[in-house]
Amino acid sequence: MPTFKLDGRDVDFRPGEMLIEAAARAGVSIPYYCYHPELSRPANCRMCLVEAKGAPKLIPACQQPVNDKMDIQTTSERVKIAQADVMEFLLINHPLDCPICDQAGECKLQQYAYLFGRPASSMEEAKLKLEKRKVLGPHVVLDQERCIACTRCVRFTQEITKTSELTMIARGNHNVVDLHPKHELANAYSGCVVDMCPVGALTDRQFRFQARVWYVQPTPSTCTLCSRGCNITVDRRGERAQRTEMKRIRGRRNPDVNASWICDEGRYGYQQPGKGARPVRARGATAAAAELMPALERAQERAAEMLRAHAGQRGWLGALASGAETLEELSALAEVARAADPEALLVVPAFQDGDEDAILRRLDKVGNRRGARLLGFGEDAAGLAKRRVLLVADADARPRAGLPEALVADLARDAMIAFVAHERAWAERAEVLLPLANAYEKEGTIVNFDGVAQRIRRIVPPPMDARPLHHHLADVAAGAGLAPIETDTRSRLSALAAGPLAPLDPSRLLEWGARLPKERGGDVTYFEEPAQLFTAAPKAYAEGEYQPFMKAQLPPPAIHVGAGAPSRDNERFEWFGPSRTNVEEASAPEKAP
Amino acid sequence: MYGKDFEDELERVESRFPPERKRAALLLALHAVQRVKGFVPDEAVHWLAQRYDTSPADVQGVVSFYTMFHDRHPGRHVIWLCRTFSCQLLGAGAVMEAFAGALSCEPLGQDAKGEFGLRWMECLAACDKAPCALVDDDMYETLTPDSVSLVLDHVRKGGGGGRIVVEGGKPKLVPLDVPAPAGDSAVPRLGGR
Amino acid sequence: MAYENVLIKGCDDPANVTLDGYMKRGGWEVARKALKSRTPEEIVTLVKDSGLRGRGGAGFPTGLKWTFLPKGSTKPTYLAINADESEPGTFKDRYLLERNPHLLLEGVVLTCHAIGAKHAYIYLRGEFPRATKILQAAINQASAKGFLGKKIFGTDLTVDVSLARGAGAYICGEETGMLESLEGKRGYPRNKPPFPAVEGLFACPTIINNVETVMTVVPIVERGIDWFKSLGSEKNWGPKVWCVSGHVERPGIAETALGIPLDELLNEHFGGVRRGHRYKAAIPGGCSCGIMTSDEFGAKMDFDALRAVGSSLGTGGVMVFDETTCIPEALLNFTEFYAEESCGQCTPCRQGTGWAARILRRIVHGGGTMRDLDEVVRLANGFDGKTICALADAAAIPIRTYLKKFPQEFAEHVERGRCSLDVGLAACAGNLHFISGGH
Repeated sequence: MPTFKLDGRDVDFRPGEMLIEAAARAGVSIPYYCYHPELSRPANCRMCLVEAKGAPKLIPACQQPVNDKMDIQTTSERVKIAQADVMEFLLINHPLDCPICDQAGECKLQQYAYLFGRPASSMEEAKLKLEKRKVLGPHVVLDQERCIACTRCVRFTQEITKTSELTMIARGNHNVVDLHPKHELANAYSGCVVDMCPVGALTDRQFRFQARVWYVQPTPSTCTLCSRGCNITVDRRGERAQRTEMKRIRGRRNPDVNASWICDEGRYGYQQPGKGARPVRARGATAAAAELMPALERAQERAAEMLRAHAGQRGWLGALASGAETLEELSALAEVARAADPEALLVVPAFQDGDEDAILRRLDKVGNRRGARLLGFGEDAAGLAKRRVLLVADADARPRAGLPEALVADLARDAMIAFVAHERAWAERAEVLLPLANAYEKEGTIVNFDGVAQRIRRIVPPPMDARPLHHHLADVAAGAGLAPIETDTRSRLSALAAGPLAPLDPSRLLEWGARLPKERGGDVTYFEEPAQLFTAAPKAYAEGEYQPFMKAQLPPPAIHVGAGAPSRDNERFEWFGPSRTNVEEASAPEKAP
Repeated sequence: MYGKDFEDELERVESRFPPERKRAALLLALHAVQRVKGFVPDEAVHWLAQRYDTSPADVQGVVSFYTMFHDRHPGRHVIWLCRTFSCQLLGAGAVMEAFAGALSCEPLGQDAKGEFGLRWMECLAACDKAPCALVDDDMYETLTPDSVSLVLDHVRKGGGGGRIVVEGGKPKLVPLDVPAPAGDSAVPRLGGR
Repeated sequence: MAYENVLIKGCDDPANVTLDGYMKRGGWEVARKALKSRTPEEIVTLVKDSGLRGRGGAGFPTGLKWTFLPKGSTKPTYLAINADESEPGTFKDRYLLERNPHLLLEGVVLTCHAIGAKHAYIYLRGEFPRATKILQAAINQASAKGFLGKKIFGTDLTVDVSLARGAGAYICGEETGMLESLEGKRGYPRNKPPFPAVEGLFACPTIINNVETVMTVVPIVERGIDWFKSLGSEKNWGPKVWCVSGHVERPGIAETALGIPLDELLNEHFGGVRRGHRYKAAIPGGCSCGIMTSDEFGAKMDFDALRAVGSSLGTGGVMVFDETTCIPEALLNFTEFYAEESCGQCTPCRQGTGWAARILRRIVHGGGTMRDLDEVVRLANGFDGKTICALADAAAIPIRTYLKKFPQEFAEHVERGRCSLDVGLAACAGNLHFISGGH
């Protein structure tokens, strides 16, 4: 590999790479605001200036392709002064909003001011007064005073969504980001501009003033609301089971699945429905069975009855799932159904909705479609009409998604046991209703349309009686006299890895997924942590030299997946690294009742 | 939107640029719109955005970048008075005060009748004729505070530019060295065919 | 031997703007002959060997720039003429455009032939409607005669000239800012590399030259290198059009060889300092040049000699200040100019020029402190050299040089809160308004 000189040592680089990227891979952090790996590079923030031997002026590292004759200094006096100057210039008109700004704690300005800025400002003039609370659209609010004119948001709407709602208005000091007065920022990815704004100029209307970021726990997971399976980071607040709640979903960078983006549906789709919209207590045929144990017993009874009634017969059982379930759950459903009736019909019906585009969204709103197919679930629901007994699972937490009403209502049957994560009209007719944990409440694996197997993580505990499907099924099957099924999620995955997911090695399945082979006998491609661009956790943090109050806030270091500085701060800042907290906790085996 | 002649002329102008880069005619189109309406109204922003396959926000960004484009009506005749130093040395400040007094308006504003808008402009590149002003398409040179009413009257009567000379202690407006040619500069009729 | 004008020749004759009037003086003959007798390579070599340096302010060797075009590119080559003359104190391009438009067009034809460009765009300031009309009429006449357009002068050559207009932005005189504006966008300068010669207008190879530079190509082709090098001195050859304004008896235009001493230029061609006054200072080439004190007026006006006195040739737009001039006021005026004209793209210029203007306003109008004087120089050093284009560098030069050469005046403004010169409001205008947007 070709090499160049960086801070006195030889570092290799890939031809065509930019200096900032090559330096990052070598562990050298160069600060930046306007650079973003998915967008064009205007090099206008001037924060990434470095010194190149032989060049009279400092050069922007984000825009400079590396060549083997370069001799670069990133920490020389000139560079340090330039960084301090840029910080000072940025803070001239920046309002002192930190105490009320959402971005505090994950703000690049704060972080770089600490690392590269001067301790005091000499600015005595009045700051510019601009609009501070401009609602741009259903999800985004703009504060023009906080804006540092990096143009990431403008470039995003121009280059990614190609809708160009945002523009810079005026010039010079009076440069502001704005919309055309008669339009709003309402494209399908509008929330992404909040993710990528390095400061608190663009904030999320839903998250505004909801929580301080150092009080939330970020957890990596995968979105299940369409078959793309975008990588997300979910922030939750609260440690105690009763009080924990999800505060925010952000996109997580995965160059092989979703670049750095997620659509607004995935971002805001976690809205926890109000009470009553989701069953949290099991229900049986009688009112008295409105508790888990009695309902389970009722289910076991009915299951045993149906097994006796159809003993020796084949083709009497149908298992219908929405496709929002994990592989572990679907395989449990298939296992139990086939154990009861070797010719049980397994169906995950087609569900297409909304829009599709060339960026991320897919018409197929079934998160685990490919996974279901791998496990033998078909798409044609016609054969279900002849099945007398149904097991119906719908882990979809969206009110207007999941199994279509019309489909299930038409099915005549002798018995139906339903497992649902959201109130469904058809579930009224089930004899037993057992609540399911939704996609944010359980561990599991799904496979996206492209064949990438990814993990979903438990962010909040499922409420009351809700459990993952395989836990319910284990109890029903055992009570009905069928062979026991494995309830431990990790063991289920290992079994699948030896079967339909072969040759997947679960211990190598990280937060960025793994692409399953297209044909039998092919190899699995394991995706690793994308290169982090800024790994310099402040020296002080690492060495414990920080203010006493900060020490109190810092949570204990978590075991993290992949290489990188062992600081939880890394996932708060958009340094394109993984979310590393909570993985240990989330991987803990769940307890079945 | 502004008539067939206007659109024909605009198409002719656009044909001077590569076909996939028609947008290069945007500034010329905005000048032309401003010639018709006096400023760039919202309907024009939308029309041009559609014409050049971009968003209204993008066109508005262009309009707001350039000092000479107005997003609301600035007054029928805009007086751009040069504020750069050669003109200041020779008394542009007093000339501006005189204009402001004669029109009873502030710089960056317009008079009550909406007849004149008053603006500062950066160096008009006529420093040997300081202090100078650009009014519509015409230059008014070597201005003095007591000549502003001559200039205003001249503009009201059709303009054409002029130079102020002082004869017998009184200001007089004489023709420019380089006379204003006839014709409409807003959308230049481009030759070469 | 008296100097013979080649660029402003004929500019006194109103008929010179017409094709017939121009041709009566032998106009268009150079192009007619050169298209038939000289190859493109010959013209490029000629201009390169002449040592002609750009007359737009940067002084880059023109012929050398022409050789940066990539060989064998499948994309069309463009010529873009920078007629966005906005540098304060500069008015030579306007003069030449309005009085000698055909000389520019002839230079365009020669240049297009040399660089292999079929299309030339002349980007004019939006504030030049008169020049636009005159130039358009000249283009129409030349086209009608077969001097522009397809198959010009009976050859197979095409030279298509179009006009483009700006709309009031100094930054569109920066070459890549001009390209962005020509493409119909906000005039944001581009990062270089890639350089315009490789990837310029419409992402095609583009040569950008100033009006005066292209006009100078004509006499070079006509009279040759020996003539060109008979004017001026080593690496600073050729004719130059000067535009002088401010406190001289006869502000206006003159043409001499490069290298004329400033005092000789002012005294012989512009009547010297206005009657009853004394020289105090001058800016030799637009406000982006360092200020010269009156005892430095013996310096030769060329690219290299002026550096020795901490200044530069720039555009050759000279602003002369006599003893009634308040230097801090001048600095404020120019700094506000830069703050107003900054495009706002990059942090140091956008924030720094605005901040510097605010500090200077306090210094000039009262409320300044001695610390502010150091502060504003520190700022200038902060934004100098850190930006995408040279506007910030240009803004830093006046701040540094004025404070260095006239420290007592600034100190007086700080101590007294106002000017020590007793000149009244008109000349030391305390009523300068900070333009904001002009809308």
